[in-house]
Amino acid sequence: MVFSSLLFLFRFLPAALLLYYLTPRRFKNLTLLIVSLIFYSWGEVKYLPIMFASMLIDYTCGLGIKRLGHNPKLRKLFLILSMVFNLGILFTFKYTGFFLENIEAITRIPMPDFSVQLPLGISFYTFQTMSYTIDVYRGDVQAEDNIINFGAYVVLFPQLIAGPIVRYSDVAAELKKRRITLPMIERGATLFILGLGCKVLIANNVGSLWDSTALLPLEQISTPMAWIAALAYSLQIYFDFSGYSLMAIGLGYMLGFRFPQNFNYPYIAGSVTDFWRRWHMTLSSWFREYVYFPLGGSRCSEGKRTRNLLIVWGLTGLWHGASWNFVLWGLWFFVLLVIEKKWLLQWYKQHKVIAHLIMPVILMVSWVIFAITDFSRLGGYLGKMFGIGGVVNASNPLDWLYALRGYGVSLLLGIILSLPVVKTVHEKLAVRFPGNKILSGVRTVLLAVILIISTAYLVDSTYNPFIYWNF
Amino acid sequence: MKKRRIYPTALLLFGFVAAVTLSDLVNPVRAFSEMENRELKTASQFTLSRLFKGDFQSRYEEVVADQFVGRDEWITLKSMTESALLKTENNGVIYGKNGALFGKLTSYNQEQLTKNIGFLQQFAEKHDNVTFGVIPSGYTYSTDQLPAGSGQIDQLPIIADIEKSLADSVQWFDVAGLLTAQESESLYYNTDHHWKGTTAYLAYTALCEQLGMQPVAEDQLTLREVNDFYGSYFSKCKKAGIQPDTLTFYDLPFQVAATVDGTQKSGWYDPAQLEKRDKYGAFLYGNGGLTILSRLDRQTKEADHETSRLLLIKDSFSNALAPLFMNNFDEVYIVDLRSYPMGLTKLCEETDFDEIVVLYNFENLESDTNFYRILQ
Repeated sequence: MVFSSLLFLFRFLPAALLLYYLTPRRFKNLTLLIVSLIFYSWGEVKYLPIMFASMLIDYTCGLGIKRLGHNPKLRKLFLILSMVFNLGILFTFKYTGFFLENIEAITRIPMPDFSVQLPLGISFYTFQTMSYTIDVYRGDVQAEDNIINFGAYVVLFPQLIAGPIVRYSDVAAELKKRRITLPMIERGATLFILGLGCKVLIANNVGSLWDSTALLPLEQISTPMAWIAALAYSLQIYFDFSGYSLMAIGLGYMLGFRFPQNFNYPYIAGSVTDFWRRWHMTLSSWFREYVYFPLGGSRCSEGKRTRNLLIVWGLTGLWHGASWNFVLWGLWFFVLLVIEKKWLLQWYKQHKVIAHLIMPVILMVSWVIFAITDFSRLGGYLGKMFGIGGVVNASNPLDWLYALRGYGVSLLLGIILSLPVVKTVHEKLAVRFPGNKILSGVRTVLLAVILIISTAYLVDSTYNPFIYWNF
Repeated sequence: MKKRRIYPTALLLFGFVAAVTLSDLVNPVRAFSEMENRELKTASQFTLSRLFKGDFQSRYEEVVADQFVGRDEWITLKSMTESALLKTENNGVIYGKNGALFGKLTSYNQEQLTKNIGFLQQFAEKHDNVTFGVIPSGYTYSTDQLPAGSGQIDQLPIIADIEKSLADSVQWFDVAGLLTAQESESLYYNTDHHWKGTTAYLAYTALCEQLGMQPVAEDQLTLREVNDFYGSYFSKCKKAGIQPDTLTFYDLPFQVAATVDGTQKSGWYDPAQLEKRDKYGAFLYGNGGLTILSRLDRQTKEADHETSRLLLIKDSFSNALAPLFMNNFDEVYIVDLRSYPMGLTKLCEETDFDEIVVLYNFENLESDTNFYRILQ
């Protein structure tokens, strides 16, 4: 089930919230566990056992580590067990097919075809539960004694399928005791509506421009068209993913949880380094905390530091999908980050304007690498962007004009909303006119319009792909 | 006294979700959508095995969407928003100048087209009276109304290539040339992909002349006009503010009996359907596999070979054209290969046809995967 669906908005959400709010406080986690399990298993009842196994194994490992404080070997054994299980199911479902294909390509021995449906949110919840056992092992958090509390954390529906990657330590206190206040619900409702609008009104809208361009043969795409489509995809993936995260955070507030921020206007970054502090922040911090730092981080020799970055970015790329273009995408960022660390960061700081002009170009190229899985098509498309193989589309020289006429307003809206313009204006006005009724009235009307039009788009949606959900 | 704070957004979200959900739950079930011209899903049957396979869930979601309260109004609201965003196309329909609608066609299936032409050649080799024509799509005659850079393919040179590739066994009927010579710009409906009844009549007269027959004069027919026709393009794009078309066709001066896939009908069109949204669907009762039209005012001839017969192999464009041939033939056999899987060879063996006409719109010809049935 996805949040941006009629089923979620007008069946699951009202039922789940009503049940949750009516449940006495000490049973709230049980309600949360049950409704989350329904959410998870709606599409895939057959994967329910995997979810139960996840809960049981990580719960047992956590307790094992806690109770065996005196025996370092056994503690480590439980940690390893949890890691092997989580990485094992992740690898089995997400990478087996890819792995076999590559073995076949290298050895020329035919391998069986392995294609299974990816269990919902597996990339996200395996990372979340691993954070739990590692933190317990390190002594950073207390192991959870109550399996219902723990189960509710693992399958918690707002953050189950597309992040933010909520570490156990982020919500440990709230799992045991939380207050649900009206200001929190108000804030949650606001974020949820904004996130819904980002996903349904902007991402889906500009996304169809990229999709239709992706179907065309390369000779039917002019250079300006290639850039417009790359811009459309860059906006789509941002609003799709950040919109989904906002909805998740909003739902969290409505249930009494404060989830970590996941995006902070990534497209205003002045460097790639800065971009990754603003894009999918919970993933970057997960890799920093559990891979980069344990490897020695940057407090070691330059050679080792580069190696550490290489590992982290290779893995980050692969995490996004079982295909070589994702690895290439990760390595592309590795190269950019190494260059920046060594030379460019200082220069960028002195030439801010140029940096802000270069960054969109670098990021659009990055998203093209991310979007096109076929390497020859990818090479051809990047070539198109830089005028290799012809600038003009001979069969339709004005293709870019047509795209701008049809999608200009949506693209412009996307660009404006990916900058903190509205936020800044709103904050300034709120400071200038505190408690102004007109201001809050306008705000509510705008949110109502977003909510109503989003519903209209959902009803109409023949077109509602969610890009991030197979990750 | 303490001032009570209000929480407008929470109120908005919860109020909206609750109101819509409750009214959706009491909303009566609809079986058919006039607007979308299709059956709606009404229920998802629950069994454990369907639950485990996920069939129950996916069907349930379709039911929720199809039965959603105010579905048509929501869809209209979306199309109004799209207009506000200055969109130039939606769902495969391009918005031209002055409110014109066109089907989007930026590529075509050359492979399928070549295959289908090959099947036609083989068919023509077995018969000595095959005439073949290709009807261009409407935008071909309104290129000045297409927005710049829309990338629509030019069908005329492709159709000219088809003509060149044909062997002598096929008589070519040049629809494109006929329509290009017309001065009128409104040969096709604006909201629908079909040609108008008056344009079908033009094609009918040209085809008669080519076949050496006398076409019926226009003044002997009654032109019928049905207002408020919203056609297929409109159903796809649902663009706000589009004016409806007037459906045109000619009533015949005599009574015609129709048999559609074995079912007897009175008259060649369905008057009830003219009241509904899909008005073009009235002609020949839609696209039946084998439709036989015969004149009620003529006695059945004693010897079968005295009965004059036309076989028309066609897509829906000819639904507006076929009845006109009742002025020239005792019987018109109309075959739509998309719903006539087997039996054309047998039909041709058992029945004596004076003429065989194959008439397709370009887009159907290049995409139809059922055309091989012409040899079945």
